[in-house]
Amino acid sequence: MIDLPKPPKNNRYKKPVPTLPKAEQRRRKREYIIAGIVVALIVLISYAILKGLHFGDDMAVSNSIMIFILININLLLIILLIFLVIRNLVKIIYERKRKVEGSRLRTKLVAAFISLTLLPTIVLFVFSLHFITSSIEFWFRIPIDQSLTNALAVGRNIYTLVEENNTFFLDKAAYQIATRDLLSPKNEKELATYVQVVQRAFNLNVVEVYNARFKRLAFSVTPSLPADVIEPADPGTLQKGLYNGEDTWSTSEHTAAGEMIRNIAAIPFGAKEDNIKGFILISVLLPPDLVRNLASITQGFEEYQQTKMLKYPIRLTYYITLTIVALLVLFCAVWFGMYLSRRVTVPIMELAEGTRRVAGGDLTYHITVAADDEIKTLVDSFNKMTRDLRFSRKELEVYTKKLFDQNIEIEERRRYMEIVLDNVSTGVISIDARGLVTTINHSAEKMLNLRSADIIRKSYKNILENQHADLAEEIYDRFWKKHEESLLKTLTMTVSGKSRVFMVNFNALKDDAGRQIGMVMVFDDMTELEKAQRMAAWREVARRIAHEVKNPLTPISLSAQRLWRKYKDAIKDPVFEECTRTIIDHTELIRNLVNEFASFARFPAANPVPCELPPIISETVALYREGHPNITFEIRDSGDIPVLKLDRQQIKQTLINLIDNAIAAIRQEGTIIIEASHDPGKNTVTLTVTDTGTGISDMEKPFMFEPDFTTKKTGMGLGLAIVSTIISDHKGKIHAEDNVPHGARFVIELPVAPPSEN
Amino acid sequence: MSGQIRGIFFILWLCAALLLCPFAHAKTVKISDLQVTSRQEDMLLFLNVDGAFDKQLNEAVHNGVPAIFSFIIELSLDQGIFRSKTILELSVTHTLKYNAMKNNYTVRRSWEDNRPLTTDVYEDAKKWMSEIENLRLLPLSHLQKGERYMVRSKVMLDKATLPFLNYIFFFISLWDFESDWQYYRFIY
Repeated sequence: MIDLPKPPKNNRYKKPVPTLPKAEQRRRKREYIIAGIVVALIVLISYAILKGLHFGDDMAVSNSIMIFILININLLLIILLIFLVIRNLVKIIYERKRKVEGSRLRTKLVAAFISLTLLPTIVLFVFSLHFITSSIEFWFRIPIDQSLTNALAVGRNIYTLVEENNTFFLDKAAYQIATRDLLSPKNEKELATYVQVVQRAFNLNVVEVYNARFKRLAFSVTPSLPADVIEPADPGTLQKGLYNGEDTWSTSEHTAAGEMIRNIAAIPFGAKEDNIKGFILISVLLPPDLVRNLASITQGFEEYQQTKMLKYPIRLTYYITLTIVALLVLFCAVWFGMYLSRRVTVPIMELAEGTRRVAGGDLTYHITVAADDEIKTLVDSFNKMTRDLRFSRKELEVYTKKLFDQNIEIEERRRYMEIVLDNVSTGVISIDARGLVTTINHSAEKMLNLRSADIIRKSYKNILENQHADLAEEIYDRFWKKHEESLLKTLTMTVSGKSRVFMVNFNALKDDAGRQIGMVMVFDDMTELEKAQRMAAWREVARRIAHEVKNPLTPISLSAQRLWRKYKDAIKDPVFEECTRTIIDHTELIRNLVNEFASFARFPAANPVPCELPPIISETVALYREGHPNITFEIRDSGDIPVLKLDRQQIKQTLINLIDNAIAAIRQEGTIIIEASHDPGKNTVTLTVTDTGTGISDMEKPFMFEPDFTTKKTGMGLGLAIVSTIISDHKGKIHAEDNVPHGARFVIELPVAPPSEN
Repeated sequence: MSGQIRGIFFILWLCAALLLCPFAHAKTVKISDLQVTSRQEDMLLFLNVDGAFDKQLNEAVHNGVPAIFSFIIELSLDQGIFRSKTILELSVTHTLKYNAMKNNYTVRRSWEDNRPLTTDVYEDAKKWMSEIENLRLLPLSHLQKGERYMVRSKVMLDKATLPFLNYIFFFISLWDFESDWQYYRFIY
């Protein structure tokens, strides 16, 4: 018998259990969305920043602020991404520490991913750093620095040269003006001429002279320049260098024609504030090209310097950007590793859990996994397996239930059959193919005075051995050898010292294929029936005989009486009287016998009335005590004999018959015990008559209570038959037993009437 | 996740924040000697800036980076924090540019029509940049006798002047500064 696992209480197909609690699922989803948005934003913003950095030099404030904001947001997003990834990493480590299922595989996968990406990333990172550093260093090579510095020096030299020239001319001109006193108003014309001469001779662009009150006295402009280009210098400019203690000072102005460098000196040259009589200005115009070139040199130098200044920050920027990108790559790898590992470990763990549950008997477990590869195939196979198992188990349960119901039905039927067999009055004994008793019903036990435990699984021959060994052989011969169907026999057996007659029907048991699987004995106790039948038959005979015999008796007797009356006086022969007397007497005797027969045949019905038994016993025994001195009569009375419904006369008759028999059985001396006792359990009164006579043989026992059974020399043998009839009329029972050591005992059981009847 | 994990994260955050701190330094720039006077019919403002020129700004200036100071000046009726009424709000700029070719410094002040003030001496240039004198705010007739007035001012380095790679990272600020508000209260 296969030991099936217990089915779950709720056998219906459950909805698939979600793999994670809802809260966890939502959180995970949220995380993924956040991460995705973060990465996208980082990329977009970085692109915007890169684009934005190519703006021109004059950037509007708003743009800068925008970029500022974008960079900040970018950083925050990166930090957020780092946070998410580190959080997940820590979670993995934590799970690993706590030995959560699936954590080892996950850790391995993530570690593998990390190391796979870490190595090239590190290599790239280091190389990039090195490359950036060396590139930056290359850009800021000394030759570039040097050439720019040199260019600047050249530019400065130009200015210096111009200034030096101008200083020289200022010195000479100031000396001349001072010594010739050209500043006085009377020398106005000479001054103008002198100024012109100086301008032309030295090929200067503009020469101007101012008095001490900052009024321009004279000026000369080169013809190529329009005169209105030159504005008179303001006092501040004229005095500018005085406070610094310089001999000459200069200003420069950018005009459409180029850069005008104006050198100023006091008149006399190098005079201090108190001694100044005037000022002289010499202006040199640098051509626009030169000015432009100088400006560009300046700009280039300045930009280079600024760039150099930013060298470190730029490098730092690159480093940081590179680091961030490397970290991004790393974190993406981690993330991807975790994602992939989750895709792998979650189904595997679910499968492990599933196999555990299935082993434990839960066949409703269903794995829901979103996958599209071999793992899905595995999961589908698993689900199909559990589904098939579940259906099989359902079917099995249905069949088991059916089987169970059928079993119950069969059991009920069997029990019913047992009850029927047990309660039927017919004895039934079944024997299997090997001749061993398989069943014996209650009636059979009772009838044969056997216990089922003693006879079950023993050979049937044990039942028949003592008395009917040949029958056992016959049965074996007929049923097992010749395979006959049935056999009807009447058996006489002694059961518990009593002789019983059984009508036994042997029937072969055959299966559907016709093979003999055993035998069944069905038997009824015919003893009482036979007795009654015999009794009835005898009665009928007695009645007939009585009737037939009685009829001729009367005429014979009458005839004899008539003869005696007629011829008693005529014939004096004693023979005549003797013969007639004999005829009359014997006819009378025959009539009495016939009457006795008739009385047996038509015995008066009992008329039971409540009376006490002990007095009847005493009266009856009293009749015999005097007449039989060699016999000891003992009366035993238990003292609790209840009132019985008895026909007093008939009971007396019974006792008389039994005591007569007992006396007849005792040869010389003996004891006759009449005992009465009450059995409250069976609700009977037992009356026993025990003698120490010759006893009754087993052969005689079955026929004792039948008519014409006698061991006496005289009598009809009806005594015990009459006793049997009386007792049965009183609804009692009588049987005979052997007395120990010798003799016979007659046991009468009389029912006690219910108290209401008394 | 358990509180342990949260705790670890907090500590990480803290470390990151602390590590990044050194990059964000603040200069101690302040406006001193803020006062207003009246002359003829006008209210005039005077102020000085202290501590604007540190080593980094000097280096930037000498590398040709134009330094622009933006001054914000507000005149308001002083009636408590929530009831001040702003009467005047103006902003002026001072620009300092070093010419590497000529090795001189040019300062232009917007309240002087951006007239260039040139000098070879850096100290002079710094002085011009750091002071406002006789800045005419508004005619005195716009004020009410007996009222409390408040003038406040602050200065900041204008970020718009930073060169092409102007913004490295917000936490590596090279030259920018912003002073606190300086207050001057008076009763007209």
